[in-house]
Amino acid sequence: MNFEITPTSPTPIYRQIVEQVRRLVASRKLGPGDELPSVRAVALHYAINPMTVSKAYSLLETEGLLVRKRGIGMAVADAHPESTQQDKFALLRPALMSAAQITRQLGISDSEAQTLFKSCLNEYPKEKKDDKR
Amino acid sequence: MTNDNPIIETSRLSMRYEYATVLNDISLSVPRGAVVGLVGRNGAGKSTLLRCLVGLEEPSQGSAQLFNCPSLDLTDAVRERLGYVAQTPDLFEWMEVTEHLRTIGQAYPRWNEERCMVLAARMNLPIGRTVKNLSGGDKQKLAVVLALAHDPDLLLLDEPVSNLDPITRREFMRALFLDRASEEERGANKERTIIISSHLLTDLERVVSHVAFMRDGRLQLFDAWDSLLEHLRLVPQPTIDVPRAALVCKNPRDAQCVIDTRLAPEYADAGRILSLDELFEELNA
Amino acid sequence: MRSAYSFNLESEYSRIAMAMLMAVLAVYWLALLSLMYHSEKVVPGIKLLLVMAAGLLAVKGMRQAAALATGARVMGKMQAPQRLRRSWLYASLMSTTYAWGFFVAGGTVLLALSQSSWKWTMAAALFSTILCLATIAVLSRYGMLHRTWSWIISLGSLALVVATSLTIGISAGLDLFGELPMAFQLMLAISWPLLAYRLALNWSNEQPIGVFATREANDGVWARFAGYARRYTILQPAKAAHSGPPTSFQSSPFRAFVLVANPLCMFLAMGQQYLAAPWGSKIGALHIVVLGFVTLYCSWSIVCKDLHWRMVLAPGGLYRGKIGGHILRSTLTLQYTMLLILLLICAVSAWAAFDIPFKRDVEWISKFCVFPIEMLFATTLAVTLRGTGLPMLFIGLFSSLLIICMGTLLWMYGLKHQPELLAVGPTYVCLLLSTTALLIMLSNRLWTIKKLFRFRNWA
Repeated sequence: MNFEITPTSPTPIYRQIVEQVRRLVASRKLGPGDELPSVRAVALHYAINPMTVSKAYSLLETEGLLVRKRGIGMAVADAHPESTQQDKFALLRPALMSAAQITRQLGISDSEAQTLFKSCLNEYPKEKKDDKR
Repeated sequence: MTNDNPIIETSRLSMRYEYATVLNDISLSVPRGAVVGLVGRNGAGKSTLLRCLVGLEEPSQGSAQLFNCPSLDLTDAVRERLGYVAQTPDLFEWMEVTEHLRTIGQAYPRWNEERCMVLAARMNLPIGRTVKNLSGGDKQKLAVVLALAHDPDLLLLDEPVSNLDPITRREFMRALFLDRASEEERGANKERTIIISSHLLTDLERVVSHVAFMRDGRLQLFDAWDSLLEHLRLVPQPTIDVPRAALVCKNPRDAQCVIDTRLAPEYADAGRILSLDELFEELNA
Repeated sequence: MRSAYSFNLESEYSRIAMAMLMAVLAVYWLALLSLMYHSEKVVPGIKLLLVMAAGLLAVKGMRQAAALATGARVMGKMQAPQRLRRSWLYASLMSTTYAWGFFVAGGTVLLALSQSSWKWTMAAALFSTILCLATIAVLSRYGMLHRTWSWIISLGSLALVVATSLTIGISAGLDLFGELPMAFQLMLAISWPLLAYRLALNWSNEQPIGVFATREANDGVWARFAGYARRYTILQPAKAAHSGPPTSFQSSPFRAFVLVANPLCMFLAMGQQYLAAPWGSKIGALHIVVLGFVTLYCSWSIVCKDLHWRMVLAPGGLYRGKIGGHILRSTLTLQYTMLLILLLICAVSAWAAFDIPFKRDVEWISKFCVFPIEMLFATTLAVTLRGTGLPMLFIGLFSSLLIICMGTLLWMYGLKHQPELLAVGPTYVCLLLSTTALLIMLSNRLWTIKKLFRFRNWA
């Protein structure tokens, strides 16, 4: 699995990992019981501090999203409610908020913005329901 | 379980030469497991600070301690857990690389030839060559391998990778955290404490847990990097007075200032977040 | 004082060279020993052997001292465990002491069994003194002892050698030393073990200070001289064996001075006995062999002026095509300057001490006017030899050959009664000058910019 880690972005690296895992779980790309790559493997791959990865994983564990399995590492928690529509909206909100801010700053009209968003949606093919990665 | 004492501690460290004050009243306390990026302009005193920490220079005032041991009088027990890379490496020019590694490594209990060779291979260091025939970058790699080969608990690095290509620098960053001996061997000392002085801020951003900014011999700012990212904001000069404590720095030319929103939460949404080089620029404006 | 770790304190090359030379000396020793009871003539041979052994021991001592200093610097800078540094210290001191012991044993045996006027403690005394002086000078040069020691020792020994050679001659000087009271010699003999013990004790527990300290030259006349001297790069055969930070041994103007003064010392020292060839006299085979030694000695200290990448890149390059001549010119400049200075000092001191007018000095000097030409010849030959790029191994073989020749000649003919070959006169001078011209052309061919690059001290 590939995270997208940009060290120079305004978001701290651990938060980037947390948000990406949340998104993966919410979109069912990571199902219950799926293993996550070890802290060491992620740190090795991206040449980042293992403590950062560890921090992200611990945070997710406290949230209840991940669970530590003895001998295996971190895995997605089994007993975890299917994310509701509300949870998914909460994940989408920040991106839309910044889009809204830019729309206002540039003075683009609401309808034009919505048309633009629709065309952007069409660029991404719809994911099939049982497409898990 | 873990010792709560800071691994590195300095107390009002000052260093004065006849032509300048290189270090001015520096009090630093680095906790175990921290990866500290030491940044500052040329001449800010980073190398001198590292040398004082390691005990190679005697400060005019103040003291420095590593593992609770005064830097000027390090015991062998501390030295075994310490790795230092100076800005210009000093090596035995007549030896071959393997010979050099073995000569130094034999004094360290945690040194392991296999790990050493794996590390050298990862960094693309030609191990059969004589040291005097190595290029400048390769000599730097050798100095880094020498410092890492015995699995130190504390690493002090003075611009260790300035001469190296991006791929090797990436490998170096990986090597900083990996190749740690098994937990049983080290007991409770799992985390390695590192101080790196470097100008390559994008490299530092990936790995640091704390950042220390130095300017003209003074420690401007020392804090956890994640906190700084989350709480510092760059705002244009506000008309209302910002509380003194929350003002990190002011840039008179651009009429901008950096505000710590932990102490002035009203600015949390104003301004924008700074990356490491932007913060560096602001602090040195 | 055992070292628990294993070290290679020197490069493979220098170890082999040292072993080879020691083997040659050992063979010579055996020869002398076996011929001892057959004739009186071994005595000058023994003296020669002792002097050469002293020289070799001095070189070994200096290399080990440099290794010691380098070790202290490298390990100190990385804050390696003290026990490693201590082991290194003991290893280098023990290595030198073993060599010292080896030579002392051999030398003492020879002196004891022969009927020479030198007392049998002389070997130990000579070796200890020379070793102590060499070690202190080098350690001081690297900053481990106070800097002035190296100056005192080098200038002092230079003055001593010059003074001895001009007054009573080196041979007589050595006899004087050899006939000192035994108690005094014994005192000198234990100087090395004492020094080694003291150094080991001092530096066991604390890092030698000043190993990292670097001092720049002060302003003024000295700085200008130093700056000028720095333009000369010494084309050391064993480059970078112990190189370190830029302000170390290699680039010091002091070293340039010493290295150039050395061959001169040798000239003067030999001058009285062998090389001195007043106009009109005849010279023997021994003279040629000594000239060979002088060439060899010169070849260690040739210099090149302005070896810097800026000069190489400038229009014209660094005397492209005539590099050999350039090296020769640089070396000769220093040598002739030193010669003039020394002559001046001698003339002035002769006038001050013995009221000898300058006119007599000029007469005396004009008798030996072939000497500068021989110097020219020897230096040119040295530059050409180095230009061939032969590894030091061959040069080591060459020197061994010379030692053998010298020993044989001494054995066969004794010191004074050498067979005469050539007369010092216009023919000899012509011969020298024409050979020199040929050698200059040859060296211009041999020396390429690529060979010079080996000695560059820009990164």
